[in-house]
Amino acid sequence: MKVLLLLHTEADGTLARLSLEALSTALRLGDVTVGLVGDAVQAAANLIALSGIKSIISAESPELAQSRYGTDAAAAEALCRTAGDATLIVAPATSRWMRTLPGVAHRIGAAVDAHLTSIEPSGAVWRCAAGSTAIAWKAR
Amino acid sequence: MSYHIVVCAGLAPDPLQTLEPVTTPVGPGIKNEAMLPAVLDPWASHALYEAAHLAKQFPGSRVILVSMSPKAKLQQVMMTIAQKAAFELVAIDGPSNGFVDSASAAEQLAEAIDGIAGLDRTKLLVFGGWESATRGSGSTMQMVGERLGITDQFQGVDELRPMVGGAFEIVERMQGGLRQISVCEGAPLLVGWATGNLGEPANQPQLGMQNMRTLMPALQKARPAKALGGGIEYRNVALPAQQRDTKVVRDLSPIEIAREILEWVKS
Repeated sequence: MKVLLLLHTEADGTLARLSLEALSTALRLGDVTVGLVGDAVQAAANLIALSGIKSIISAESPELAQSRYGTDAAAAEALCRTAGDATLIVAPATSRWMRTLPGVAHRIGAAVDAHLTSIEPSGAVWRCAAGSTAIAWKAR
Repeated sequence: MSYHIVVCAGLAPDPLQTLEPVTTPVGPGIKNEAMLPAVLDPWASHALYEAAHLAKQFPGSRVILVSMSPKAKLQQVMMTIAQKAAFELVAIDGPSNGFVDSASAAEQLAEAIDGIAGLDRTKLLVFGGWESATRGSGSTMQMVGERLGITDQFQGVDELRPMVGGAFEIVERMQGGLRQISVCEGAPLLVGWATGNLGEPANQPQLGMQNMRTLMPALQKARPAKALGGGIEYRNVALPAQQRDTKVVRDLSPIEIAREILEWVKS
């Protein structure tokens, strides 16, 4: 399975712990391309390269230093379209991505869900819903 | 200056109820779902109270509540909510149990908003909860905004301060207990509310009676929701397995408690 992992850098150019956890998850799922968004992404790209990932694409601009729906959505959409053959897009549940990625999913015609607790290589996921109900579902 | 504030709100089972997931002929559901008392989704309630508060500051503003939920339950909930704020209602008769894909829900809501008579896009503020208390994915409002062509979107909002010239200063929650403060030029914009800053308004029976004159016809006009599949196949729905056995121990010293927590974290 082709997987696109979308990450954004923090204000200091590093990756949040949540991003590294998402990286670990993505590596178990298939052939990973990392899409990086931020003001200056080279340091983060160097770190990711240590995991053995060879395909890294990025959207880098001073406008992406701040978290903002309009610019973040445009950057993430561009990365999704660039990695056009990915069938699964994985991202950490940071405030920035939680605000933006559902809108991006709509733009590219993808399904979206959040609060996942595990994901299988088949694409089936476990998620935790409000009211503490665990749900397993598989997007067709 | 005035605004047209659309508040998207579903229903949620009363939080005091124990919810047991079950499989029904039409997919997963909640045991005795039809019998469970419901409330207006708590996140969306905050959005409604903030909308009513904002509308009071700008005479001539409209507040329109758009809700996809079972019609009979919505009618019950409106008896209470109608006493708390003045609003118009657009109802969609559909499920509100958390098993509808957010893209499908967003499609229904956006279509309903599009169909509101006299809605002025230049004055449009779309409010909702930043997530629901049922599905809780935090993804519906963004898709509603995209469908309506609104790209100024804010989520986890606790404060919306009107500024001179129609701009707004917006306080959003970020992870790590941080806040992000942004300035937006003005409408149209979409706001997914966290708790906001307002308490629950007191019941005003007179306002309730006045509201119900328009709410009852709106409930009768509720259109049924269209296909809500969203391409999701549910394989299992269950309460989470208990992760750790709880034991009751008296007179344990703080150091011993700390040591036990540390061992648990390390394991």
